[in-house]
Amino acid sequence: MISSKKAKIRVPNRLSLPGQNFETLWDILKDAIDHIYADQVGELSFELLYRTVYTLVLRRKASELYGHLKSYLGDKLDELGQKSLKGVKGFELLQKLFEIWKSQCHYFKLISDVMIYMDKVYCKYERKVETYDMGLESFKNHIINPIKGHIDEAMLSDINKVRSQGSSEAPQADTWRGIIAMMETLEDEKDNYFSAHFEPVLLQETENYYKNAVNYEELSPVEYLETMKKLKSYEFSLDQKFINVDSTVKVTTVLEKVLIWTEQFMDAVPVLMRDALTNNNVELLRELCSLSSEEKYCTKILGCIKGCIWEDVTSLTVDKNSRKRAQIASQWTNRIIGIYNYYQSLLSTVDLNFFTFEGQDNSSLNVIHEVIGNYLKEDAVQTCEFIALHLDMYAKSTEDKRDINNVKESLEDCVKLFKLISEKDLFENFYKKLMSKRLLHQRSSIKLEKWLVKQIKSEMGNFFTSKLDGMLRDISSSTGLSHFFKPQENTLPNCIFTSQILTMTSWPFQTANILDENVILPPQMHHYKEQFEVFYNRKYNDRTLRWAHHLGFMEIGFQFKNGYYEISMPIYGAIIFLLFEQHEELTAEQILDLTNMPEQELQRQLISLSLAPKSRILKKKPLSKTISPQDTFSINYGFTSPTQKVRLQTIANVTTKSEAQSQVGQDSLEKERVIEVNAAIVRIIKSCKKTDLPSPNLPSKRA
Amino acid sequence: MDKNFNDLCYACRIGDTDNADRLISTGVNVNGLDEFENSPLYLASLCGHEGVVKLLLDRGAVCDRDRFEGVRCVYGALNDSIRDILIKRYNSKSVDINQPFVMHISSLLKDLSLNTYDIQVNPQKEINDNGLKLHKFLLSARSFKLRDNLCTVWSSESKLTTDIPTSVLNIITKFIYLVPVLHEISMSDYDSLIQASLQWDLKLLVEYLHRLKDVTDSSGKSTLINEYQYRVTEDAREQIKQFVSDNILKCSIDLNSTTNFEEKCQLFENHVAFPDVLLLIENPNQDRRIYPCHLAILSRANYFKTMFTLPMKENNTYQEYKVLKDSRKLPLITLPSCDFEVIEIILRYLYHDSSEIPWQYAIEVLLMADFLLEERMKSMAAVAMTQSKDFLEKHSIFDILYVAWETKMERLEQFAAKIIAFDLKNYSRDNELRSAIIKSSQMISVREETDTIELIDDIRFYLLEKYAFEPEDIEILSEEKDIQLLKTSGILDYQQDVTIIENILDELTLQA
Repeated sequence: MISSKKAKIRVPNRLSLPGQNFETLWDILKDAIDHIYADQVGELSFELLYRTVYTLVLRRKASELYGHLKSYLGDKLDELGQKSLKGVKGFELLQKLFEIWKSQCHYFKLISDVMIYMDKVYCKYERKVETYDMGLESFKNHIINPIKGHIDEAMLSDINKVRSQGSSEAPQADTWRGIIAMMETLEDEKDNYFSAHFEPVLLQETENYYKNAVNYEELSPVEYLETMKKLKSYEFSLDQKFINVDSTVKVTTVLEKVLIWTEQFMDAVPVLMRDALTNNNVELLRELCSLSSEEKYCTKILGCIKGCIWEDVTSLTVDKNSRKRAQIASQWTNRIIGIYNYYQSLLSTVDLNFFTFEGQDNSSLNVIHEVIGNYLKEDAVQTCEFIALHLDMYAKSTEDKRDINNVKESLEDCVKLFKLISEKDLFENFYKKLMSKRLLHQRSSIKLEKWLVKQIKSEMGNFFTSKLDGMLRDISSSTGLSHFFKPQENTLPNCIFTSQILTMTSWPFQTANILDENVILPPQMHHYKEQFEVFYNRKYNDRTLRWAHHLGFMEIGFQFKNGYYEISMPIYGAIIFLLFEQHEELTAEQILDLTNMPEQELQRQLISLSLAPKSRILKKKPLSKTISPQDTFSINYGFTSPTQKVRLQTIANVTTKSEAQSQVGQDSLEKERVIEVNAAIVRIIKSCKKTDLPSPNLPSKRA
Repeated sequence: MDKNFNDLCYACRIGDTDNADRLISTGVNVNGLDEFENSPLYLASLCGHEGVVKLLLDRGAVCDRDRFEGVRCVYGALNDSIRDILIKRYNSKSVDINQPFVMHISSLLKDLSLNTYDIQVNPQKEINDNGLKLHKFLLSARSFKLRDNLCTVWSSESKLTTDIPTSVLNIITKFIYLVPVLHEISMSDYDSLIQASLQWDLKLLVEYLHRLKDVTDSSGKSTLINEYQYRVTEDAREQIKQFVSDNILKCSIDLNSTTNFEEKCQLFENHVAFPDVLLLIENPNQDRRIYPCHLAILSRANYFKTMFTLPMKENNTYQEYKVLKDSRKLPLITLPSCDFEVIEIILRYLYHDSSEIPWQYAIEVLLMADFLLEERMKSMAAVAMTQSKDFLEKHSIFDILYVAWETKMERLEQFAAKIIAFDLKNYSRDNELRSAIIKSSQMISVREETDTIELIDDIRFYLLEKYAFEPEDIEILSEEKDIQLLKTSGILDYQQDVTIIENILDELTLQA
């Protein structure tokens, strides 16, 4: 193959123009540029010019050509700048500059079309900017840079002039936009000239302008807000006329900085917010929230909202000394719920989700929860007690089935509070106690109780309701059991016996008093007791049945002189009352012997039977306020009552029983907590053991 | 034709997009099947050549979900990206045959920026400027009847009226201008369309209409459309080819020193080619010849397009001629000196995508295409060089390399490197290789890239290919001790070749 080299055809010469050195060829192009600048394009021959460029590039003169072209363009532009722009200022400068820019772009385009072969072959491979862009660069260096300051000044003073007139029409805006477009077209290092140079200047100037535009200190908060809104929307509409969206956003940010981040406004915000929230002013609230989307501002707004809610809830007063604790509790709870609902509906009108930062959920609901939750935490014992009491009141007052749905509706709101309660075990404790009483005394509808427990379960979790569930289970299984228990007909025909079998662990009572075992029951009752024990043992062979008389109660019908009354009373009371079936009159001492009751209990019962104003079914001699062993008792046949059914209230124990009881509750709660904590520690230690580490890091884990 | 189709199938297998493009331009049916019932699209899809798949689809390959071939292409696709491209086409029923010359001619109907039309056709009773703006040469090329009319009764007209209804007129002009129109024909126009087609002597359209009448189901219709769309394109190519050959190339006028140019120009009055631009070519023997041409077509090349978009002298002359219609004012464009054959190849390419470039002229065509800023033509010429067996007998590989560098044809650079690599021992004795390496290294110093020499890199790459190695193989084999294995693997020969290159580089004190 190599040997045949001589026979090969020579590659044809490139198709360039013959002869002529660089200078002559360059002169042709220079002349063409002169013509272009003189708007005499029609006289030029593209064919000739293209061939000239082509020839120069082929002769590897491209870099020389490029250099010449650049410096010649530079000269042209210098001359032009000297001629047209020197000494011109203000808006006239902008107009002239814009004119020159437009015509130069046109010229650059023509020149680059002539230089197309160089662009394609030389610039692309040598990584030089193409002719057109080179022209733009020269334009920046030779026209813009010498009068940079003048242009900025002219633009800014012109813009400020329009701002100060506040007119919505800006006839100059077209020229501004042209100049801005020019700046955006011109390259600067990395970025375009506009964002690298003019934008910062514009932002700075905007800041200065608005700082001094209005005497803000004279304005009231509401006026300030109005002014701010006006300025913002004005500036926004003005910006849209001549700068792009991104820059508009930047200007808006600057404006916010000037207008919002002043001490004055920062002071005004809480006032305005208070106003908006107190007067249910949705408009104002929305405005405040939409003023800025900056994190700092949003945090501020959120803080204000939280502050207002806090103020509202802490202003609730509780009369701790009042006797009607349940009523106060209910009032208090209702008011908390009221505040909750008020804020919920008000804040749902603004989209606080907008303020979500770093994964923190700032929805309106969360804000309310946070604040109210904090408030509820302040006095956790009172909170739990009050809410439990509130529920208790509702539960007790509804025995009618029709009411249940209404009550459910009104309790729905209360349910919302459940999840805000931080010391859930405390609440459970209170609730359990009240619930057990309701259940035993059949003071509420089982359906409602079940519903309530379900709500608590869904808000607090299974852990806290296992005992409540147990109680409900006991009640329903007892009903079944009573149903099956059919004592022999001959015992006592007109007596109805209802058993309530309570699982010891579920109920908040201390172990049944051992003394109960020793109480001597009236024969009928004793009969029942034995029969039931037999029945129960047959059914559940290995279960221990222990009687808790102090929890039971009994209803006795009796014909007094003035009418027949059905009196319900505690078992102990009934035992005493039934003694008078056989005895006309008994002394306290005798009663004690006959019943074998604990003395203290006897005293309590006797006081409530004979001294309590509404339920005096026993007469006492002598009529004193205390019970002494020698006092005699007999049935008070003159007893009257407005209703046929009478509930006999056992008076509170001589000691302040409720306090003692709650004290006991607290103690047991403490114990339970200690147990839980211990269990948690053990679990952690166990897991640590696997890695054979002692537990120096335990405290940190607990934290 | 058959050979071209097989070559196309081969190009589809190996992924040679440029060559496939060239072959399709010879008029090969891109929807044909080879002896194993494979379509080119299926082969390209199966072998995973995305570029070729796109090209084939652009050039009218059908991927129809209703037909076995279409479904097969999708299932055979080597990768997801190809499958996605195919599925996208799956659902579009319209057939666009985007042969480059077809696209250009279609665009003439809408793009009036260069003001190249020379006849207006108006519906009856409506003589204004809103008529269809058409080109005499194209009408004449596409229909004998119209050619006769244009040469006789309409010879001096620039505005015509016709009794053909507007909607039908639109369809047949679109047909003439190769805008895909077959699927747009509505039955309400049917009769008048047949009549008009007969009147304008559009035989293929008449034939299609007759067959369309008998087809009722939509899939049959789309098969018919596909078939005819292809035939319309090829028919048009043939007609334009005929026109170029008869009315342009054969009607060119030789100038000799004694004849007066002005007189010659008289000859273009009512010339059968209806030229609006004259190309003056001087060959190396300094014979000069004028070709009657059409700006509408020449503007396919960027050079001409720029020339007549700029408000410079050429454009002014052209517009003046358009107003005066004086054949003495016809714009005359000269091109750099070249053989007449070269300019004729280029004209054939511009008018009807002819990609037949005899190897003898390939370099010149490449250079001229470079001058005209016509990239596709350049790659056609490059393909012609690399495909020809005779080419290397007459040209030094280094000539090709230098031309490749000048015209930035990567394909040729690699071709040259491959040739050199495969016959390294012989070339290593040639001093031209040394100077080529030096030139290549100098090019890099300008580019300020990492200090590699492209030519050397290319040669090394093809050395691997020569001995069928992967780069990892070399590493593995370098630790191998078994002489027999080394011998059979060819690694020894490879290392020999590599050493030759190292020696040359040392000799030239270059590093790469």
